[in-house]
Amino acid sequence: MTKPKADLLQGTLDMLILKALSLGPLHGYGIIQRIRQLSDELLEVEQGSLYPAVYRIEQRGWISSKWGVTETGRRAKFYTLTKAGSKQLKSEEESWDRLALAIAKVRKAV
Amino acid sequence: MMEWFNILMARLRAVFRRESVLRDIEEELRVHVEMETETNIERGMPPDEARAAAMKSFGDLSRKTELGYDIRGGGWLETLWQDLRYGARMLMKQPGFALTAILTLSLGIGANAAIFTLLHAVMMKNLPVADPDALVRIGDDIYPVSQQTPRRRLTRCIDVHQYTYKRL
Repeated sequence: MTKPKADLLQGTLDMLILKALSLGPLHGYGIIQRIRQLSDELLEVEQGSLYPAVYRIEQRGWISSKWGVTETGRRAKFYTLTKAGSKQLKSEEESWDRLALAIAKVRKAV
Repeated sequence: MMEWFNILMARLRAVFRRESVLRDIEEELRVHVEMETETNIERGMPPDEARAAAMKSFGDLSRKTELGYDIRGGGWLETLWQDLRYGARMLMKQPGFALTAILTLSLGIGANAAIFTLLHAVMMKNLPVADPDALVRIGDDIYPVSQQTPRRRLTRCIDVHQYTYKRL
């Protein structure tokens, strides 16, 4: 397990969680897995920091939660992106893109 | 604005369901550890080891539950509610003290309200006419001669002028 890991910028975790849920409802464990898959195993969200972030996002009304049953028949709490959540995701992605572009410009300056 | 309201409502709901919020978090985290345990078993660990590894990578469960409750619980609203209940209990324990405090407060508030009502009626309320600003006073003795200044004389002139203008 000596994979180089990309450190998460503050506030990025929220965006990743929203993005993961934009592909369909997931439980907490599933969110971590989906982020890992989508990042080609580069991003490993720390288990302990996921839930505080998820709860905070839920309180803001960007996701909603419901207890359900997994494919393997286990009871788990599933999170779904709300309408406000997809709007939030869009605006966070846009500001992320702006930031990335700005940093790229600075780095390429000669 | 909407988010702020959502958070407040969530906190308010949590104040009266502390136990069920705590149980919900506990259950969710427990499920998470179980899923991790299963993944570890699939990777070939013996069950005991798989569970221990899952627990270890998750960290202190009760601490994590508390952290979750900090966000999902009643927060300052819960503290306020507890303070209110504590206060009420203490007052019930000492009825004499409670009565004195209540009397003092009601007298104080009552006296304040009475004086303000008086001041309001005498000094602040508009005169009972449609346009109090347009009222003029006609006459030579608005100010006694001893108090007259050039400015006051001017004021009087303007007042009279406006009055005449309106009548035209």
